[in-house]
Amino acid sequence: MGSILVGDAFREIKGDVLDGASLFSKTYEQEFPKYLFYGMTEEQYWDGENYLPSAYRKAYDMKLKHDNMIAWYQGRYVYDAIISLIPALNSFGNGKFEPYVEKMYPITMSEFAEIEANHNKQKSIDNAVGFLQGWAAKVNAERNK
Amino acid sequence: MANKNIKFEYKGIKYTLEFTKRTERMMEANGFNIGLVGDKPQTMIPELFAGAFLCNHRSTKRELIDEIYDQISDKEGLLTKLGEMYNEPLEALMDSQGNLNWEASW
Repeated sequence: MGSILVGDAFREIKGDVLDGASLFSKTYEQEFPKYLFYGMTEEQYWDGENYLPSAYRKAYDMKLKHDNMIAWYQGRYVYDAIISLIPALNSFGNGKFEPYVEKMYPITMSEFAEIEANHNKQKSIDNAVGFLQGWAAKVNAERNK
Repeated sequence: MANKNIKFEYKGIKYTLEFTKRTERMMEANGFNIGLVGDKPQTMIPELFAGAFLCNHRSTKRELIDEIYDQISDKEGLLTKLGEMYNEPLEALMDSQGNLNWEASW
């Protein structure tokens, strides 16, 4: 090839890969639309670092899980809305309906942590009350002897 | 998290050789086939080496690349590394997409 520049020697191709290309090019061509769908740019896919496809696949999985969770919560809210209206539609319900859920369902880790903290706090209070009630009952029993 | 690459300095110029999907596609569109390296080593190995310049040193003359290739001491080691580098984009693309394990006999 003499003094030809390497960039000219390997001319760039546009569009579909040529016939007879090896597994590598064919696979890259076949996978390309999928990664565009995942949100990669053309440059990221063809010229970017090799860890990117894996990161985009994981991100897409996370997005699917997220979308699924949102759909599930939406279903729960719709279900609760219908349930709260049932007494009003019931002939024995006096035309009144139950209030809609007062708080949003917890969705973040901090919200779950807050609920758990409140639960533990209530548990401690219940334990203390139980202990005091037991102690008072014991004192009363001894006094009545 | 850079791609696998080979770095060296020749006549005061620093080179970083690596492959991307685009450069492999260009190489294959021009007749390079990694599967034929074993059958046609005399033509395919220099092509593989030259293709590794496409990513970062596209303006390098082929004459100079051949000159550099002639100066390489451990050509067998170079070929192994170039093979690993060439496989990396495909491996990265296909990893965790299947769960069928396989094993080579050597």
